[in-house]
Amino acid sequence: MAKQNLLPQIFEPLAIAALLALFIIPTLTVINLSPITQELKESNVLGVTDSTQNIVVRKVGGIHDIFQNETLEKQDETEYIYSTNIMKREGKKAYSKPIITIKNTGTTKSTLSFYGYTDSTTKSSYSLKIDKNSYNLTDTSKIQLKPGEEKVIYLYTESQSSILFNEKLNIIIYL
Amino acid sequence: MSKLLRRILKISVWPAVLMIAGKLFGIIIANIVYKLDFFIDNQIQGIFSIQLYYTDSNTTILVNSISNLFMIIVLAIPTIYFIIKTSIYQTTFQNPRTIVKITKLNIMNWITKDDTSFLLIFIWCSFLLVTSLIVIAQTIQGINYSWIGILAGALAIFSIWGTIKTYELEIDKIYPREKELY
Repeated sequence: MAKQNLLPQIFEPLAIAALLALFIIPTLTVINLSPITQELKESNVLGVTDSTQNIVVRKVGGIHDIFQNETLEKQDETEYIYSTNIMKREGKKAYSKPIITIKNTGTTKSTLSFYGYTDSTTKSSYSLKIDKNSYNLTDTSKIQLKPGEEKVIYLYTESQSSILFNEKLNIIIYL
Repeated sequence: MSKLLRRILKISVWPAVLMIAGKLFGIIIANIVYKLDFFIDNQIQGIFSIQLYYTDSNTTILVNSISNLFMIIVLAIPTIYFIIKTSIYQTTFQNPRTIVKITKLNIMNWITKDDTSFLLIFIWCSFLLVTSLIVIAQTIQGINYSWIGILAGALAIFSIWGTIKTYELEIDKIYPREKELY
């Protein structure tokens, strides 16, 4: 009696399973690779309400030609540092971007102060615009937030001459 | 294992690899071009243990759209090429003017060898259809630009049409249409 070759019968179901896997695995991988939006827990997003300060600070984010690689980090319970790379730019032009939102979730008035500096000594002026007010970053400025009030902070810069290199700007926010 | 199954497996590997590579390449390109900060979390609920994420929705939509576009393009280009090649190859048998046009366009090598089978087109179209459906679903969910969703929809229709057209051409080989013979 001739020997029956059983190998094809064994491999056939495996091949069908492999074929299905070839369709299913890339599909699941592509779905998994699709990014989602989520807030950072420890760094960059400081949206957790502090029992002592009741101030919620959030990075606005987004894409901008001049203000790039924005980060917002918590240094301690009362101090946060926002930093961004300011790319090379044309002179006599002003650039602005919403960078941070601050909200007072408490029931009492809160005061915030901020101060900024760059890693270079260009003649660019940097300021923060909150509502209709402008605050120069070279001085320590203070703003008040009423209970439940939320404000959007805009970073604003302009220079008389073209800046042909990148700069790093740091803003320290004290609660 | 049957020859057909072995051939299907062999053909399916390339589109499967390109599908993942296109998506991954799109994500990498978007991150490099726009200098984005991306994060990876391994505590996401659901069937996946690792998830790529961004902290703002605009960036997420941008990266997802660019990666989806890359993925669709890398699958659509070979699929369209196979469909056009087969279509031209079959038309040359029936219409001598096609040969003249092909000679003028200097693409004679397209019709010198019939290496594009219905099976090949069917599998590539299937992958293109799956990819398009993923993109359309993500467009409906609002995590993809609408024009990319529309493009995916058009490609999905094209891939279905291409499969049917190739099937008809293959059938014509076995059962030639009477009106064209008499």
